[in-house]
Order: sequence, then C-alpha cells, then structure tokens
Amino acid sequence: MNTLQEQFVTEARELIRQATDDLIALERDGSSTECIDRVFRAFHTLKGSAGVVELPAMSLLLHAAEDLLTSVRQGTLGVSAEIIDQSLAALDQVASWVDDFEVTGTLPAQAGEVARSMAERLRSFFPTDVAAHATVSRTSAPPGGALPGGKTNLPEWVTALTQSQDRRLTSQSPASTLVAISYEPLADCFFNGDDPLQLMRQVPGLLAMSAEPREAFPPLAELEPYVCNIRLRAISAGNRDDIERIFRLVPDQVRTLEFPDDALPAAPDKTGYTNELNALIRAVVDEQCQMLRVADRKDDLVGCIGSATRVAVNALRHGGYFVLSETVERGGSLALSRRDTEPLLAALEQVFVALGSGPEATPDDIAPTSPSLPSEQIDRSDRVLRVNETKLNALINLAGELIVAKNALAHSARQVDQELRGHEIAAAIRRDHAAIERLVVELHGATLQLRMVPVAQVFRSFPRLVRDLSRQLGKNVTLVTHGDTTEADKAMIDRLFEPLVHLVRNAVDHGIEGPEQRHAAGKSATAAISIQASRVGDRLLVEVSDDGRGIDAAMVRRKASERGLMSRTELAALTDEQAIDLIFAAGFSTATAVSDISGRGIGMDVVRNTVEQIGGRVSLTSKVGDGTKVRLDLPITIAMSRIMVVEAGGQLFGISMDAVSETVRLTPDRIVRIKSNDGFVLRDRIVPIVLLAELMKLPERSENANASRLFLVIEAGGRMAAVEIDAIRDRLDVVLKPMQGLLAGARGYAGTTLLGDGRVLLVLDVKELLP
Amino acid sequence: MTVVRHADTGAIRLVGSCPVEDAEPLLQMLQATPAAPVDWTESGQIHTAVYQVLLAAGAIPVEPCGDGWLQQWLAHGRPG
Repeated sequence: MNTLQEQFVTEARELIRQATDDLIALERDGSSTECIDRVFRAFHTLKGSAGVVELPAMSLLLHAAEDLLTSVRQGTLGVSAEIIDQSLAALDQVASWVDDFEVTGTLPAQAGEVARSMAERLRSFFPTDVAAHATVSRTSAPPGGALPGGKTNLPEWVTALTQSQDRRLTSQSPASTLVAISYEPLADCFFNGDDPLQLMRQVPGLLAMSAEPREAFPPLAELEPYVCNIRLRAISAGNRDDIERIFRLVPDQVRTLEFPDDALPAAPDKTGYTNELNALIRAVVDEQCQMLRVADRKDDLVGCIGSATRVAVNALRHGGYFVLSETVERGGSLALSRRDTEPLLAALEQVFVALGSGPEATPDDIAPTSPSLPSEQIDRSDRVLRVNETKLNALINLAGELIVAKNALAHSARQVDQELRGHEIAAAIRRDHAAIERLVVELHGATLQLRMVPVAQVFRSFPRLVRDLSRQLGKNVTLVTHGDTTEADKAMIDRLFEPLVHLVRNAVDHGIEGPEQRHAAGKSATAAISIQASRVGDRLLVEVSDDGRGIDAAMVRRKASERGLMSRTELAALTDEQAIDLIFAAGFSTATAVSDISGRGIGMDVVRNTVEQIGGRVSLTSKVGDGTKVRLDLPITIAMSRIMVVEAGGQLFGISMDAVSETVRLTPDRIVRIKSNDGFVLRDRIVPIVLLAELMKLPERSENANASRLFLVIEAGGRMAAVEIDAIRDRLDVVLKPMQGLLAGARGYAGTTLLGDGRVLLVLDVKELLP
Repeated sequence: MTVVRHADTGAIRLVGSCPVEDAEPLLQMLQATPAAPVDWTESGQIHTAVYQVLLAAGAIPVEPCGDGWLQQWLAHGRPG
C-alpha cells in the first residue's frame, strides 16, 4: 500500500465512526439541520476519498447513500428508522471493504454486485414522484476516459461555454470534476422577488458563465422589462451539492451536470501556447532575479525591488498565474519593508521553479505557497502525531527496563552504603541514585502518558450497539455517556470493551423492561442507560447503570439453587447483596429464555474474570424496580504493577498488591482448627488458612508453636482466604513480563520481574492458586 | 433612482446599486435615445432585470462595470 492508500484507510475508519455516531444522533435528536449536515459531510468526504483511491464499488454505494441523505437534508424525506438502518448497513459494508482493502489492496470480487444491490435498496426510499419534482435534476456524464473522444458526449452548450470567453478551460488534473449549470428562471420570477444573477453570484468556483435570451428579444419598443427571458449557464469547479443547495428554492428551473474535466478539449495548440508563454515569463522572472542580485547599492534598492516586483507580477498576471503573482507581491512588500532583496528573490525563485514544472503545467496546476511566512496550517498538523503502537511499546519497554536497572542501582547503592559507611563516595552514589531514580520515574511516567487515551474510544461503539439491540427487542432506550474525556492506558481501554459490551447487553436485554411493563410501573416509556467514567486517584471508575427492573435477590437465590451453585442453607445465609453478587458466578443466567443477545449465562462471569485479570474489581448494586448499577474499579494503567516480595519455604515470590486486601499477624491462640483446616475469625467472618509453601510444593518451615504467624488476606470471587507467608521482604513497582515459552500456559503465575540483585522473581497470581 | 442621464453628454449613468425597479426607467431612457452610451462604471450590484434590459438593447458598455462580479463574468454580452 502506498501512503495515499494508508491514509485513506485511517481516514475512512474515522469517517465511518463519525458518520455512525452522527446517524444515531440524527435518529435520536430528530432532523436538526446541523446533524444532517454532519452526516452528509461524512458520507460525502468518504465518497470522495473512495474515488481518490479508485474504489468504484464503494463510491457507487456511498453515492446512493449520499443521494438519500440529500433528500433528507432537503426535507423531501423524513428520517425513519429504516433509512438509518440502511445507511448504517451501508457504513458497515464500507467498513468491511476498508478492512479488505487494507489487507489485499483491493475489494472482494463481488463488491460491485453487493454495491449495486445495496444502492438499489437505498434508492427504494425515494418516493419516485416526489424525487422527480423536488430535487434538482442531475445527470452525470460518464468519465471521459471510458469514451472515445469524450467531449462529443457533453451537451453542446457545455462545450461552447468551456471554449468561450478568454478563459482557458482545459483538462487539468484527472481527479477533478466540473459542474455545468443551466438555469432558466421562470418568466414571472422577478415578481416573486427572484434575482437569478444573485443566485449565480453564490456559485463557488465559477470558471465560465453566459447569459442569453431564451427566446430572441423583441424590438426595444416592445420589450417587457419585468418578464424574465434570460437563460444563465455556467461551469463551476465547485461541489455539486453545494451548488444545488444554492438553487434549492428553484429546483425545477435548474439542471446540473457533473462531468470529469478530462472530457474537456485537450487544446493542444493552447498547450503549445502555454509552453511558449511559460518560457517567456521565466525569462522575465530570471531577469528580475539577476537585476536584484546586483542591486546592492543602498540608494536604488527600493526602486529595484519595486520595479522587479511590478514587472514580474505583470508578466505572471498576463499568463494567468494569479496565485503566483500574489506570492511575488507578498515577497515584494516583505522585501520593501525589510529593505532586503532576499524575500523577493526567494519568491521569484519559487515562481521560476514552479513555471518549469513540465510542459503540462498550466496556470492552475501551480500550487500557492507563500515564501518565508510561517503557515498556521503546518502548526496545526504538528500537534497530533500518529505513532505506530509497536514503536510506542518499544519505548515504554525501554523505560521499563530502565526502572529495573534503577532498582539494581538502588541495591548497589545500599551495599556501598553499608560497606563504606561515612565514606564520601557512598554519599555521592546515594545522591546520584536519588537523582536518577527521580528522572527514571518521571521518564517512565511520561512514556506511559503517551499511551493514555480517552475512554471515548470505547464508549463510541455503544450508541450503535444500544440502538440496534433496542430496535431488535422492541424497547425504547437512550444511552448517555459521561466523562468521555477521562483518560486511561490504551491497553486498559482496549480490554474494557468486552466487559462493557456484556454489561450494556445485559442492561438492554434483562435490565430494561418491555414497554408495557414500564408503562404499568409508571416509568417513562424511554429507558435510560448511562455509562460514566471518572478518575479517582490512580483508579479508573466506570459505572454502567440502567433504570430497569433491578435484580431480585430472591429470584437469584432460586436460580442459584436450581443451577446447583450452592445449597439452600448456604443461600439462605447470604445477605441480599451477596446473593445478587452470585450473578457473576460461572454458569448463572437470570434470563428466563436464552436469547441470542445475552442470557447464555456466561456474560457476567466473563465480566468479572476480564476485569480481575486487568487488576480491577467489579461490584454491583441493584434495587428492585429502580434499576441496576455495575461499577468497575480499574487501575489507570496495567503496564506497571505494585508487588509485595514475600518469602515462603525459603524462596522469594512476588504477589500483586491488587490481590491483597490486608496483611494480618496473629498469635497462635487466634488460629482455630475447623474440620481438617486451620482458620481464624476476621471481623465476624471465618477465613481459611492456606500455606504458600504448601501451594508451591516447598518444604514447610519447622513450626515454632509460640511465634506469631503472618497472613495475606486475599479476596477472590467473593471468597476470602488467608495465605500464610514467612516474611514480607519488600514492596516494589515492577514491570511484569508475561511468562514465555513453555511456561506461558502455566497457571498461577502472573509473570516475572528482575530483582535489584539480578535474581528473577516469580510473581504469583494467588487467586488462581487458591484451591 | 439610480439611473440618471448625464446632463452634458446625454449618457445614461447607472449609479450605486441597481435594483429591479431600475429596469423600467432604464428601458424608457434607452427607448428614447437608443444610441446613448451607458456608463456603468459607478454602479453597484446590478439586478438581473436591469442587466436584461442592457442585453436586449445591445447596450452592454465597453467600460468596466462597477459591479465587479458582473464585470468578471458577464460584461461581454453574448458569448462566442
């Protein structure tokens, strides 16, 4: 793929996303002009880009969608859910083609067929009589390349107009199209307050125009001054839709014709003429440069600059190079104000180069650039930089390695400090270490900032999801998102999508009642789901709430018992909150019937697992009749983990601090034996004890019956356990490296990290280790 | 009234903007003196009806029109 194509892929995806958002907003908010315009623009730009990378099938489909939206925009068609459906389907199709295009550089073989049938479906919305009446009648000339001698297929008046007057209208760049306009105002239009020329004045990019009598004018004595007998015709390089918008009140009097400008006569004699003219202008410009280079005497410098500017500008204007002449004028005035020939020379040299850019260079080919004047546009494009994610990750990994190296340095610094106590070198190393530590931490923080993206990136997909689901289920649901600009690590944001999909699906499918039920409950017909993101310290909170029926704890108990998740007595002992929490258990489904939307009984289970994998927690509150709120409490970034280095069975292990709710040290008398297991009572709950050494199959330490024992209290899946360790050695911020190779699939390990002394530390996933 | 006759030369002058109402007086002046030159160098925006009278009378002036847009696009009368 070349750069142009790569850019197309990126831009197309953005446009598709934007168009999807706007279509949904259009449906939700009704037909606000601003909204329609936005949708229209997105489709229009998309169509244009598809044309640039030469994907005719995509252009065809988008063109049909655009026509449909034109009618919506003109008010001849109302926005209906079906129109939105079809437009979204068109976008989906385009999105899938963009994916194909990215991989194969082309569209699938059947794309043309698909495009035609989808376009037909889109066009079926046009009420034929209305369409013929109220839209400006438009025809398209086939592209010139497809025809032998393209110009013969243009209406005669178009050809006449392009060759009339003293303007050279010749084929310029293959991608551009021109619009021919024929406007025949009604005879009584003056009485309606129309001023046809006034409409023409608004046409953008006019290239040629003519006014002629529709019927031959009568002798002056019989002329009716207030009967309009004029036909206006014009050629414009402007956008056809913009042009048609100007004539929207007189659609019956206007015809537009879009034609590629390569259908214009190539005018070989004129090209020759242009070449000759260019050579002449170049000579004139060159002469001015030479004169300026020797004009070093101060007294006539101003005169030289003035005359050189004038001569060059006149020559350029004569050749029709108006943009270039402006460049020279700007250079000239800058030169005058600085009393320095340099800006003018620079401008002239630029012109000289531009004029020499090949025999086919015609006046409008030559792009305007201003000499030595900073352009705002350049600044703007510099503000956002697209960087390949792999490159970014490489940088972050390096910063991570640096953290490890810094930890090693800390170790050495401590050693030096111990062995050379009071020595100057020790103090120096300590000082340098402190400085490096600060810098490395800042560097790491800054690199992680590079990966921070707003949650809007995930939230964006949900309006569409909610719309489609609620339509499918016959429910009326609006989605509101808050805190879209809240930022979190890209890796976190990417992983957030799946749990959110489950939560939102569940809310629409199970949470929100049907219309009758809502009516009976005295609730508004439109249900509301909200997704809210906020940042609290270094945590990202995401809450999904709905105003649906809520979760009935009694029903959950019944289901749990039916599914055999727990015995009746166990269930009875649970508080309502604990019972409701069971919906996160594997194999639980509250749906009375399994639907294809959710209710396979795995959704909430997946939510809790995914969220816990990324170091987050899920909690749920619900009130029967009022709705449900699920709260995801997530770390902002998952690149850095806080671990505790613990010792058990003579070895060191890392344990993620996220997993540990608290550490307790207990005297032996607090430990009780329950059945075959030891445990203790912590705030009225019995916590079973697990020995880490035993879990890791390591020799247990010989027990000193009187010594106090140390436990990490772990909470996982609603259960509590105390993991006994021998000692806590350290607390570290580390970059976890996932287990690789043979160990990649090993259960119970979160990854590895390097300790300051070079030892590899195994970091455990204690929740997986618990029996 | 923005269509006036020059007292000395007899030329018809369009001064300032020329709305639709100016078409009739302009036509009357042209009917009275079909050969009188028209001066539109000081005109403002010209209405289609006024332009139509000039076109029908074959009286599009050679001098530049005060209405810049009209000068650029339609000051040449019938094209071709």
